[in-house]
Amino acid sequence: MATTRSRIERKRPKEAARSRTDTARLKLAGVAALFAVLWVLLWGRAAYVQVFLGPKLSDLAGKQNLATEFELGERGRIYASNNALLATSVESKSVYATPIEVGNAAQTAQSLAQILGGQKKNLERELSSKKGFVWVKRQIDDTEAQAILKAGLPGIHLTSEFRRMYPNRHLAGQILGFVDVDGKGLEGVESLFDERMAGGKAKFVVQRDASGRRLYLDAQGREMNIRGQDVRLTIDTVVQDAAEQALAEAVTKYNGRSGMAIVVRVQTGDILALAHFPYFNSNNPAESKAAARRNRAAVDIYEPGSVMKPFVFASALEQKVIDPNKVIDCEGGKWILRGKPIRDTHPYRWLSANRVLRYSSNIGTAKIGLSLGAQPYYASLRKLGFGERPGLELPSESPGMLRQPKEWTEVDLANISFGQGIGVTGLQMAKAYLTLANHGLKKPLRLVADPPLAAPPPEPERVFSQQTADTVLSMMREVVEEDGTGKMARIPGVPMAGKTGTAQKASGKGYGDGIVASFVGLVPADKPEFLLMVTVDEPTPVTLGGVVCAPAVRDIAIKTLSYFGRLPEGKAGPKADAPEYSMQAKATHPPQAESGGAGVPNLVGLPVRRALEVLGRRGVVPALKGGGMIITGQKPAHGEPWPEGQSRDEGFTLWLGHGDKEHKQ
Amino acid sequence: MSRMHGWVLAFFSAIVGALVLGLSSVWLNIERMDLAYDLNKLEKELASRTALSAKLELERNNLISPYRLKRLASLYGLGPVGPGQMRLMTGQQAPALGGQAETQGK
Repeated sequence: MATTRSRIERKRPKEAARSRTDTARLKLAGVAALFAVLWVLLWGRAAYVQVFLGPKLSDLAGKQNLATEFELGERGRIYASNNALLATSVESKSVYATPIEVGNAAQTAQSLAQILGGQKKNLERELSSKKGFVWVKRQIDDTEAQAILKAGLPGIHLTSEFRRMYPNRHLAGQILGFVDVDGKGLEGVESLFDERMAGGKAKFVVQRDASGRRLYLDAQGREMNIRGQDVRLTIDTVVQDAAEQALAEAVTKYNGRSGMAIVVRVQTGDILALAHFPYFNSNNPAESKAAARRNRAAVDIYEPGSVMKPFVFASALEQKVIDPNKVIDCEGGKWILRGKPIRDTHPYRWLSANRVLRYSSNIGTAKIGLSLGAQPYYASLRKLGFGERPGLELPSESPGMLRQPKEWTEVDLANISFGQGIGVTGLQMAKAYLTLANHGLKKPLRLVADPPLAAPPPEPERVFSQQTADTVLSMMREVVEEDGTGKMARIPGVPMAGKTGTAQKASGKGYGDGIVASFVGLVPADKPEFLLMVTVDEPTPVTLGGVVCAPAVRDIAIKTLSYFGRLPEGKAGPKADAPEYSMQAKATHPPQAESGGAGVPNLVGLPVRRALEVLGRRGVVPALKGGGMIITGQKPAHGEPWPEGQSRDEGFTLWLGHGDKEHKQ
Repeated sequence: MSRMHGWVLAFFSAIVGALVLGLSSVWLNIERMDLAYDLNKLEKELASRTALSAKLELERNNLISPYRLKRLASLYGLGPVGPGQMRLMTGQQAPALGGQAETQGK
C-alpha cells in the first residue's frame, strides 16, 4: 500500500510538469500563429501595395520627382567656299516673367526698363496681369543678362535660346536672308534650307531632387543628334566684299537707286559673289526696308539693253547670217523702222560687224537681228536660258519675260536684238554669258556647294560652236581693248572681253528717263576664267554703262585676279633702277628697309609683307617666328652677309610682333 | 534534427543575403545620385564652354571678316595689289584656281 502511494506520489510531479509543458507549447503555438498571421498580413499588404497599388503610386511619385524636358538643337551654320563663317547660332538669354510671383510690379518694371530699355508702362501692365508666363525681352546680350541676374528680381527668370548671328555684317545679306526670333528661316538661303538647318527637338525625362535640380539619370532621348545640318555656298567672302565695295562706290558716285554685281568662276559656274546695294544686314532685318532685302539678281526683271547684243551676233554668226567683216549701214545714227525711230548714241554710217558691236550700234544690231529672223533668235535665247528660271532654286526666282516669236513684230525683233522689249534677271544674264565664256557650252550656275543638287547637273549642252563663241569673244575684246564703249574697264596686262549696256526703263506705256547701266566683263579674254557683271539702276547724271559700271567691273576684276594670283607679275618695281628697299607703299610715310650695302638690309620695323618682298627679290624665303605684322627682329643682322647655299632659307629668320620691339636678336 | 538545422541556416543566410542586397541597393542608389550630380555639373560646364566657344568663334570670324581686315590693312598702309605690282616669290607658281594667293595685297 505504501509502495503504491509512493508510486502515485512519484508520478504526480511528472504529470504536473507535462501539463505545464503542454500549456507552454500551446502559448508558443499561439504566438507563432499570431506572428504568422501578422507576417501574412504584412506580406499581403506589401503585395497589395506593390502589385495592386504599385503603378498608381509610381505615377504619383514620378510626378513629384520626375520631369519631362525638351532640348532644342542648334541651327546649322552657313559657310562660304573659303571656309569663312557666314551664319551661326549662339546661345543667348531671354527674359520671361511669371506675374504671380512678381511682388511689386511697378518697381520690377522700373528695374527692367533701366536694364533692358523699353517702356516702363508696358512692362508694368504685363507684369500686373494674371498670366502664368510673359516674355519680357528675348535674346538679350550677355551684359544685360548679367545685370538681370544681379538685380535678382522676384518672378523674373532667364532662359536660354539660340540667336542667329552673321559675323560679316551685311556681306551677302540678301543671299543669306534672315530668320525670325524663333529661328525659322524667312528669306534667302535661310529659308531655302530651313528644314535642313533647323535644329531637332529631343524629349527626355529627368529626375528632380528636393531643391528642384535636374539630374540626368540616363541618356534616353538625348542620344539623338539634334543639331541642324550645315550649308556651304560657293560665295567667296573676299570676292564678295570686293564686289560689294565696288558696287557701292558705283551706285553712290552716280546717285543710282540700287545695283547688283555678280562674279562667276567660268569653269565651274560657281557664283563667287552676288552683291547688292543698298546693303542688307541680316543681323537687324527690321532696320531695312523690304526692297533692300530683295535678292534683285534673282527676282527683278529689267530690260538689259546693249549687253544682249553679243547673243544676236553669236546667233547670226552661228546661222552664217553675218561674218565679222560684213559691212552694215548704220544710217547716220537714226533709222525709221515701220514708223518707229531707232537711234544710236553716236552717228555712224558704214561699220563692219565687229565695229557694230565695238561701238554698240543699235541700228546695226537691229539690222543683224532682222536678217537673222525671229525664230532662230528666239531659239538661241531659250537655249541660253532666257524665259526660264536660272535653276538656283532661290525663293521667288523669276523666269524673266520672253514672248513667243509669233507675237514679235519687226519692230519687236529689232528692239529685242539690242536688249529692249525683253525682260531678264541678273542671274539669267550671267548664265547666258557663262555659255559664251565656256566657248559655246551651256553650264549651270551654282550657288550652293553643299548639299549637292538632288538631281545631277545635265550634261553641258552646246549652244554655239566654239568658233562662233570665240569670234564673239574676240569682238567683245575690242569693246574693251580698242576704242570701244568699254575701254574704262581696261586692265594693263590683262586682256578683257566686255560689253556695255545702257537700257531705257519702261514707264507706263512707253519709256521714261530711267536708265539701267550695266557692264559684263570676261577675264582673261582669250580663255575666260571669271565672269563679272555690274548693273546700276537709274544712275545720274551720267548714265552710260561704260562709264558707270565698267570701272566697277575693272576694280572687282583686279581684286579677284590678285586674290587668286592671276594678275600678271610685275617685271620691275615702280622705278626700274630703284633699290629694292625703297619700294613705295600706300602708307603716307611708308617704312623702308635700311640698306645694308652688300649685306642684309635692316628689316626691323617693316611690315612683314614688305620685308618678304625685299627678301623675295633675293630669292630668300625666311622662317617666321612669333605673331604680329611688324618685323621686330632678324637673323642675320643688318649689314651681315647674305646666307648662301642650301642653308640660305633656313639661315634667315624674322621675328614678328606688334611693333613694340619685344624681341631682340 | 540536422535537417531542421539546415533549414534554419538557409533561412538566416537568406535574411543576411537580403540585407546585404538591400544595403548594396541603397549604396548603389546613393552612388548613382552622386554621379548624377557630378554629371549634371559637368554637363552645365560643357554647355557653358560650348556656348563660349561658339561666341569666340563668332568673334574670330568677325575679326577676320573682309571689312575688319581692310580697316586694319589701311592702318598699316596696305591695300589691294594693282596691275604690275604682284611679285611671285622665287620658285613659286601661281596657285591653282580655287586656292588663295600667298602674295596678295600690297
